[in-house]
Amino acid sequence: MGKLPGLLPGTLEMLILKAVSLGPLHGYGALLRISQISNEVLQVEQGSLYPALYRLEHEGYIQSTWGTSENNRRAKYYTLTRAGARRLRQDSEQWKRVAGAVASVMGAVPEEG
Amino acid sequence: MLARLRSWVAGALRRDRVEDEMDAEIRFHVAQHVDDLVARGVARADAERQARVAFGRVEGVKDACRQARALDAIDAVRRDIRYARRLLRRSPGFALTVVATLALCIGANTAIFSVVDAVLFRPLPYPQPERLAQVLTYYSDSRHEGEFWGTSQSGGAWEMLWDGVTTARWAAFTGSTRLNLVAGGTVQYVSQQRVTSGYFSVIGIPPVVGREFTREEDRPGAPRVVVLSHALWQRLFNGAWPLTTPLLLRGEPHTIVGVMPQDFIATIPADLWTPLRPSRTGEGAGENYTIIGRLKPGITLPAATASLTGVSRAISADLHAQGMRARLALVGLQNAQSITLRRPLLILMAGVVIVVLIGCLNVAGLLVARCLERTPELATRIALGCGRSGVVRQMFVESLVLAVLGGTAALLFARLAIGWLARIVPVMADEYIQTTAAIWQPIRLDGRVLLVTALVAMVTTVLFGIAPALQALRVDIRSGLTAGGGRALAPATAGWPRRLLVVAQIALGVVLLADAALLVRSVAHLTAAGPRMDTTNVVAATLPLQDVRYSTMTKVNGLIERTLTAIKALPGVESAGVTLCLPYERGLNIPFRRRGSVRNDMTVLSYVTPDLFRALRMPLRRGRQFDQRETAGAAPVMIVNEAFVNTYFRDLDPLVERINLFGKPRLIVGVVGNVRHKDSFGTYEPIDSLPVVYLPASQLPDGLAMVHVWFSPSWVVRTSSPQPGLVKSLERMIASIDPQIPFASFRRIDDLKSTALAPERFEAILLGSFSALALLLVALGLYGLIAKSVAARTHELGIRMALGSTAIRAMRTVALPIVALAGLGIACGAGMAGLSTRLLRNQIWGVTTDDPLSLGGAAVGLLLLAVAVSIAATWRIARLTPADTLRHE
Repeated sequence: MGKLPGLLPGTLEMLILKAVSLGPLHGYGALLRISQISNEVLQVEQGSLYPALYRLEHEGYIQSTWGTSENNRRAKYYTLTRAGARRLRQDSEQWKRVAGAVASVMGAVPEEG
Repeated sequence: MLARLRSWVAGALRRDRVEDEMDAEIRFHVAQHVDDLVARGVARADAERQARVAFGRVEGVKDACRQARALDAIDAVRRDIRYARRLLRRSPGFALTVVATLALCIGANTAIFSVVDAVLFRPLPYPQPERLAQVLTYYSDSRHEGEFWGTSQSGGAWEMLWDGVTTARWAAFTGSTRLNLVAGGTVQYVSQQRVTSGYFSVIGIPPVVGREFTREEDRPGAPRVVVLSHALWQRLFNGAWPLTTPLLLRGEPHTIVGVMPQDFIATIPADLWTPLRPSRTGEGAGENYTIIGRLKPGITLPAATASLTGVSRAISADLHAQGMRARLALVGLQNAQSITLRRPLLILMAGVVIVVLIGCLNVAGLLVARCLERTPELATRIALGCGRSGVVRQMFVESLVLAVLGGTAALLFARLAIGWLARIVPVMADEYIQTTAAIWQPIRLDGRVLLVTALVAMVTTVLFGIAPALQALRVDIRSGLTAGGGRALAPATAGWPRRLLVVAQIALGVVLLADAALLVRSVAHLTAAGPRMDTTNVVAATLPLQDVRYSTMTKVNGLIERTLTAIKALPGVESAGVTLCLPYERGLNIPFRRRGSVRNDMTVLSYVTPDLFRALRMPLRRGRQFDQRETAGAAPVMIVNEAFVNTYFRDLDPLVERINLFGKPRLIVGVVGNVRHKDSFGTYEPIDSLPVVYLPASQLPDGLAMVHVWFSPSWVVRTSSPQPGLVKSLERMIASIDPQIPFASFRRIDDLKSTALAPERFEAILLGSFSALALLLVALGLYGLIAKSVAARTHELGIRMALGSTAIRAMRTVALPIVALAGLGIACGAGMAGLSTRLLRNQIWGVTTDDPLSLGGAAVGLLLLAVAVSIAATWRIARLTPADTLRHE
């Protein structure tokens, strides 16, 4: 379980928004979901998860309610707000553009001759 | 944005809960992780350790979370507020002075603004109020300079506008009158306004049920119709519609055709409306109609005014014989209706703004001084790593705490003041010349006023928050720490900003005091001027006679005869008479023409019974009084007053003159002394000795009873000694003679006078209290400045006195620079006052705007104040003993 390698700034927040967009999650659940979907490639550092969640909530992209977890513990569940959905759309478009650009740069072969 | 605000508020108000939730959330996370590890077969103790390691340092995460939620900033501010509260509690005198200053300044400002806002700024309660305008007439007179305006128009002007000017849709109305209403066996005394057809659609508010008047109903002789107010409709008919039973108004049946909406506010408060039926004769021959218009689409106010040129020319042609010219203009309805209140209100607003300025300067000065005093403390805090920005924030928060406390206290004070103003402003509006304005909007502490208060509080905070903060940035840590004991030689006063503040304060104080002094002197002049009247034991009973039963003067004279006989039989009655027009009230104005003159002159006309002059003790100067000879058939006569003779027959013998009134030449048989009336024509003081013509009530044409629509006659009764039961027995007597007379008001002549001068008095009282407040603030500010200076120089003064200086000389050393500053402020203020008093030009009588007593008095007053405060503040020096001060270290 190493550090997330070379994550671009803002990527963690985008990943959290994506995870939460699939259904209400508590913090631990978000961690698991990101890890699961990425086939355990992306391991979010636990210490930086909560500040990111708090920042997103403070800025109104997600909102939280207290509920009961599967094993009957009180847990704080996060859901995506309308502003969050908008932000997620923008972020993922931006991400696709950047990722595509990076991929094409990395895929370039030296010119012959 | 909103989410962030919500998060901020939650963070600030429910700080503990945020912490608890954070704890719970982290505990849940770790527990869940442990469960997962245990499920994967890790031993529980091991799992707990692994989970803790994976999570990292809990306090670090929590801090990062707090930062993410901006809780750290909130915590810093909360710490500052706690610290500020502690500091303020430690110096309650300082805190109390600042909070009280803010409360009085901001409170007074809010109160006056709420009046200004209601009368001048808040839009009229009609659709598109900016398209509504009123016709004003500006008259110029070849004999006088300048113009004077009239708010009312004649029937002729109305017809010309209605028929020929198409830039607006026109409507006309009169003032309201009180009358008797009979419906289903109940009698009510209600107020009636007469309006033209189209009035409600011009205003833009149609009846909620029924309809408004048609053009046909708005013509003389048409069937009688009435529109009711919502309140009256509910009261009389409980909201039933349609209504078939007619309403009896003044004994005549009227068909109810419509009801206005519940929240409708008319141009004048009224319970019901009837058609105006405008004409060129009767009331339409004089200027008795208010004309308003709604501009047609695309027409601007100047364009509409330009379209009135033809009407102006025609009216000027009529006035030519009197040497006058008229210019009609359209003025926005709100401006036109508040025309008389605007100037006094703006003057009061300016006065209260000056008070706020002085108050803010004071508070700023106090904070600057306090900041200097705290230099060692601030230096310590900076040295200990608080950071300059931290110190500035601390100072700002301290100011904010004071502002919030002051603002809260100000709101409480403003509520009291507004309650008082809401009672007196309508009286002002009523009593001002020719004002027909309703107070359109209630005078109350509302959101808009609150917003302005908050703004003033904020600006104040910034004003006095910045000064000390800037000072804090300049603190030199080392010298601040070493000079801590106050051993250094302090400067004479605390820096030039404070000196500038003192000069500015005193200058503003002079301005306010000079203006207030002018108003007070004007009111004193108005109160004292004019002939003295013996008004002890005199009561006036005013009876409304607008009823079909009194439609002719013969019938009115019958009532007068019966009542006077009964009154004279009452115990203690010395004399009693009837008059159409009481002293200090507005009279009926009529034009007349002197023999051989080509122009009309104006006079007040009143009818009286023979004993009226005796009841009011009005002295006879020439000729004779009215007596039993003045019967209906006898030769028509009149008595005039001295003002009439002085204005129109200066070098002639009036007793041989005849004047044509109501078609008959009348001989002047006597001249009586003046009483003052409200001015209503020409250029007189608010109450002045106007020319008056008195006719015997017994010799009036029957048709003159029409005048009772606007004016109610009064029964003036003089008793030889105080008669406590007089009013009761008069009421009983009137009820026994005519039980249907609805309502009589009993007043003393002195009360009439004070009512007549109410607006001028209120203005003077308000501006006077503002200047008293300003003086108090200036004195406080000065005292604080000198006391600080004394405290800072105790050591130096001790040495001086040890070396042989006397206490007096030491006091002088401290006080003189301050008194010199005061002198500078007074000089500046006197210059500014000379300019500011010109604004009062049309508000003062019997004094001129450059009145030396007011200006000089204000200057001397502030100088005396400065000297007195200096003595009080330096008094401590006299008790200093050099040994003590030197040992004090």
